[in-house]
Amino acid sequence: MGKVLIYGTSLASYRAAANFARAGHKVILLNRGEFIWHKFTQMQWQMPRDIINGYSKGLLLETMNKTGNIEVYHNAEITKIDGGAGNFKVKFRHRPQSVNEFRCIGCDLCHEKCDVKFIPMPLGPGMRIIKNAEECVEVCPAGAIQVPREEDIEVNVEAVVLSPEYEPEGIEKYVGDAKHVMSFRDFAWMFRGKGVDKKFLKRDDGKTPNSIGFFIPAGMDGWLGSYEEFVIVFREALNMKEMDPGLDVHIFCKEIRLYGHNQMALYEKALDKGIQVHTIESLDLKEDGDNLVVNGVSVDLLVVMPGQKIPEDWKKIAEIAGIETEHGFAVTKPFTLETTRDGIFALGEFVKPVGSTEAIYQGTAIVPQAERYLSKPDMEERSENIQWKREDFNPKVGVFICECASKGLEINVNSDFVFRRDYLCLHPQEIVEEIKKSGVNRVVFGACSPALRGAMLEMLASKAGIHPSYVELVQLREYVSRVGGDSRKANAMLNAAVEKVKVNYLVDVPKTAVTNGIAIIGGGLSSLIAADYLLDKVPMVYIVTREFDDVHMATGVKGNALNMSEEEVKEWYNTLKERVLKRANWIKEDVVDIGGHLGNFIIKTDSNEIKAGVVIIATGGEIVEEGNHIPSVIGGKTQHASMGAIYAKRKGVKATYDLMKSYSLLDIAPPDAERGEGKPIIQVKPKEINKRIAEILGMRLDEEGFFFFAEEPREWVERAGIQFMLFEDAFGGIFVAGLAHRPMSIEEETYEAGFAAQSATYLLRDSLPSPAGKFVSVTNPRRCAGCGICVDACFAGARYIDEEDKIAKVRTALCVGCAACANACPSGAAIVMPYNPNGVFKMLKEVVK
Amino acid sequence: MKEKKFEPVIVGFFCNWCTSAAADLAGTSRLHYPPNIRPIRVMCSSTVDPVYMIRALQEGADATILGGCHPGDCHYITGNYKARRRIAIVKTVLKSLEFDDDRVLLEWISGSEGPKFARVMNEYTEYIRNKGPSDFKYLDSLGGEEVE
Amino acid sequence: MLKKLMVDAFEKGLIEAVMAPAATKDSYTYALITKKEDVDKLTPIAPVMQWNGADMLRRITRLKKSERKLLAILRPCEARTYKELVKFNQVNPENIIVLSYDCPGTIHARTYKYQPTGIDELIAEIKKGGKSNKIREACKVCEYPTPIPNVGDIGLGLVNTDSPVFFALSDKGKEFLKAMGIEEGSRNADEWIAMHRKIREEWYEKERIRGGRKGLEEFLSSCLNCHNCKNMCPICFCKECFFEDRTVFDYESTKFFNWADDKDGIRLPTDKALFHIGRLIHMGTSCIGCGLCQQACPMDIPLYRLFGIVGNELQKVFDYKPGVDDAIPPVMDFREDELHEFEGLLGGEE
Repeated sequence: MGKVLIYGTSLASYRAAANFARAGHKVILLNRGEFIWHKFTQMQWQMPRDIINGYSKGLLLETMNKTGNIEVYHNAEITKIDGGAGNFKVKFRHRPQSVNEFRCIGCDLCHEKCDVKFIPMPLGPGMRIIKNAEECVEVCPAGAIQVPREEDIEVNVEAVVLSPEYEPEGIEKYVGDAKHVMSFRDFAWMFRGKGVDKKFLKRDDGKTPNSIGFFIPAGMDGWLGSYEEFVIVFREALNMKEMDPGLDVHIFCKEIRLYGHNQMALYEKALDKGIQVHTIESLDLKEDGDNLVVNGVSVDLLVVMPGQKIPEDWKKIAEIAGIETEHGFAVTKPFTLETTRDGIFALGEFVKPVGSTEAIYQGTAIVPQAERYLSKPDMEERSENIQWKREDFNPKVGVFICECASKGLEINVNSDFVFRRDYLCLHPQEIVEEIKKSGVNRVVFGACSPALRGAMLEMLASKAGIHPSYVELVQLREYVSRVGGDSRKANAMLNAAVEKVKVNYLVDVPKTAVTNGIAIIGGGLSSLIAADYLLDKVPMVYIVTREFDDVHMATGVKGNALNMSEEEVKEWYNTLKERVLKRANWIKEDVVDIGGHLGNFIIKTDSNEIKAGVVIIATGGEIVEEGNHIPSVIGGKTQHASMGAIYAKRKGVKATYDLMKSYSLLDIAPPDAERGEGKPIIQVKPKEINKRIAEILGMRLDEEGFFFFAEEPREWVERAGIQFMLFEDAFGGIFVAGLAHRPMSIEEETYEAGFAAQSATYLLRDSLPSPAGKFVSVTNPRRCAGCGICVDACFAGARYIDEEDKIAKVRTALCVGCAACANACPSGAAIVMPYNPNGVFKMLKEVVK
Repeated sequence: MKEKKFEPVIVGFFCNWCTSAAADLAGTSRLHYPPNIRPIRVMCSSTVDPVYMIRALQEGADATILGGCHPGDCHYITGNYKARRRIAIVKTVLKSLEFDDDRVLLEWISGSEGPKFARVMNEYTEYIRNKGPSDFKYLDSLGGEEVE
Repeated sequence: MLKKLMVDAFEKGLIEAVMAPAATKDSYTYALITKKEDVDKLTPIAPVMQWNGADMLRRITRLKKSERKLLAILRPCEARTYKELVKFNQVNPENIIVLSYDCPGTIHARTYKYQPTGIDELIAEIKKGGKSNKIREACKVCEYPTPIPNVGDIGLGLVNTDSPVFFALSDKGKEFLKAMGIEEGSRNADEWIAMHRKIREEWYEKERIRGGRKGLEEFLSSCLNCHNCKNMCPICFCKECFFEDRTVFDYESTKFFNWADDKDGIRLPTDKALFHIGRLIHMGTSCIGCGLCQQACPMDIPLYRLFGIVGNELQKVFDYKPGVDDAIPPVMDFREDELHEFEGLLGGEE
């Protein structure tokens, strides 16, 4: 089992922690700040209304519970890193939270007796900081209050990951002290939690503006920014237009930095909705009476989306770690996330200005890179052999009420067995005993939010032999006692749950046996990189391609990569190719057909048939170099400029550009380019074979022929995809990487290939339980007429009509349990057991009381 | 005009990822809203068969709410679009038969919108309270003749 | 004339089977024949529609596509049903040629049983551009009484003409007519269709079921809850109806008494109106208007007024014409930017 230390409080670091833990390694997570997400990071600055940080926390907690591999220290700072790769001694100082967020049950007793600062947060009990913790330790029934005494700790780890946080510039830097100017965060915050509504739109003097300008300074005077700023501003501008079509909305920026298919679609949509986009070289801001004039355009309010600044902390941590930096960012070895000191990695905003998608990609791709230094992972899954009581027809319901949740409520339930206890979650043994003793075979818990102790209560029932299908949770606390609910409501909800649980069926979570092999289709650079990561982990790695692409010179924006000579890049590529082809199964044919699905794909070529659990599509692209123009979109909706910018910079030529000429770290010394037209300095032509693959797999290509991946069908989701669903589950075992997806630099290809490789290994287990759990969809064949409504309803592709008997079947490995099929099915043949009509009808009868 | 203040019962089907999370947040933040709401947690707004909503009205609810993620934010990618179609069907059927289709409400409330959740619940309860009891619950019964 | 066409087609090998109505003592049934000698047993244009012909095609091809070249004679409403059922994977259109004709309407099966009327009398009316007043309500207010391009393959024109004409509705039909050596003809049916549409518009307003719960209950007051309307509905292709699920609608006696307490008495059997509302929700968007629900009702409840009118409202919402449009049915589809008027309390603007 490897041991890795992760420092930082960012989207990338939390992702990485979850991914290392899932891969079977021990993680020590040094969280800066008092609790998870306390530190204001990029997401919270730029997307204060978005809940994705909440969900990424959810992923972290879930992994923590499932694997037991993550240890978190709060308010932690590294003080020393000794030793070397595979054997680091890291010293750090930490101060425990005054309220241990993992133990806190949200009972709020401390609110009455201590000096508490309370921060409500979704998906949990909210955060608390207690100033007089020393006097309060005894108050907490859960033992969550601890004395925040600083402590020095030394740990031995095999690799270190540094991911200190983003910090935005203050907006004065761009606009001085002008009136009616607002930072983007304050602007977005106006609608936080309340919904985007005109009645909340106010500027500093309390007036409701009729025209709004958004200013994105990225790229001006070397101000740093990623695509994220653009995506967010364009989306917010569209929100404003949607809220009030009469509102005058302007966007001021130097360049349009939107990648990928859907991001460019965002730009087109903005123009379509009448949002005016002004490309300006520099900001010219004047006050004009009650208004502002921005580069000749009069607006009532100007909103500034600040770019990234280099925090002072970064210098310190770089010094302690003994790593080199460039412009404050960590120097990394070409095409890796490894810093100049072996075994120490940089991640997220510390590498370069990144957006959330890239942060997620990095947070996954780092695992195979760091594993070089880590001991063998321990992938043993925790399984318990429980003898379930399978009694579908003789229900005996026990109701367990938590006093903490039912404060002030008079509980009166129609059940033979009612058990009341203060703090159910703190008396696990007692609950198990009571369930056993009472002889009940169904349990209703009247307690708090399932996001808090739901899983634990279900587990207690399991220990007493009650299957999770026979357990219902009623959220008495958050839904009743905390929001001014009355006993009538509480009893109606409890009785409804009792009626429902009586008719619940035991659902065995189906498992799919998996072929332990991976097929990489195509000969793009990502194909080789992914194979390189996979060869040590997966017994069979197939590469299906006639030939491999030559390496291109869009190396990356990081100094080392950018300055590599052509020969060096080629040498790197040839070594990689040689290393991979020595061990991989290279099938030198084109793919003809791909059948099956996640866990068991069958890939046919002209003369071969191979089996694989996961498919990675890395067909690469054809590189055309013609002129000196940095092109934006060529015949489609995909941005090519990111590669063009690197080309222009590497070649040092004078170039022209249309929408964008620089990005990320290149902002510090952008390529020499002026607006104009010309033949593209570099163009990526997607491979012809993409069309056939897309057709076989039912995937979508953009106008140019690149695959949609991780963003479909949301319009800007490259940042988040299906982020808070496990990313791996979301793609049905088919990953797209590299130039097959969009034009990108080698650096970015390593992220995407690493993401695909790491996610794939996670899926290649002996058997894959359905991600839907007890919500897995089933078909009643007696009723199914084979009409296919459910097939269209399923976004995950988990349902299909069996040609043999014309009945809908379920691919359980793909089912995520949304129950859209059950809703769509007119005859009730498609069923998701926990929401079967019988249960819901019985429940409805009681809930309206 | 009515001597006793009428207290409606409103059944809410809230999706697990957004609206239920918002309800959670409202609870954690102690934002009060009327106890008339009966929340039912479902996985996705598309989980809810329109017949469930009709049944709720028939069982005695004075109104029903379906709460889902904002368009484009669905955890299951397209669930809320499908839910919107179902709601359109239910409301059209009700309206066409001259039932009161305002008693079926579709709202998008994201997980971080605890305050919005409380606001919508307050406003809708007040709206239904002013409307008076639903007569849908007397469908297939002998009662309810004197209502309206 | 149609019989001659069938015999010729058999002889030319263009078809190997025919599905068309055939007379019985008191009514008409559908019949499937495979020999040209049996053609005489058929009555291709029948004055009674006892079942929906598309429903018969569903029975034949649901599990396996038709293995013989089958000519089906369908009324326009049946042809539309056929098209709709193809979308729902219920009919496999392969190897099937559908011929439909200017429909003179059909007589209620029960009326016919006691007062038979020959088909010639009905056809005579439409040759003059009119319509018999003996036909069913659904036929009187029919929206698409003529064959429509791309719905079925071959059309037969009878309106305003003494000599019937054939015309192709699809490429398949074009080829068929060519192989048969039949010239395509035309007839003017625009006015005739307009007449129907006008009657339909008036009918919408006049017969709409109003008054919410009371109106609906009154309308359904004599309903037997026999579900025969559902059995006859070609769009209700489910093997087993949701509303016939015994587990869902079975309750302990306590619950019945509770209901009776709460609702000041309940009607038994329960959930009669719920069944009809539920059926509207499930199939209303695809109601093609054959009116068989109404004919099937043993208590003569004019059910088509319920399903036809509400169905029409639903179809307007989704801008969908079942059996006519090529688009997939609304229940299988969605758009990202649509139907905002159904969001929030007052159409999205709160």
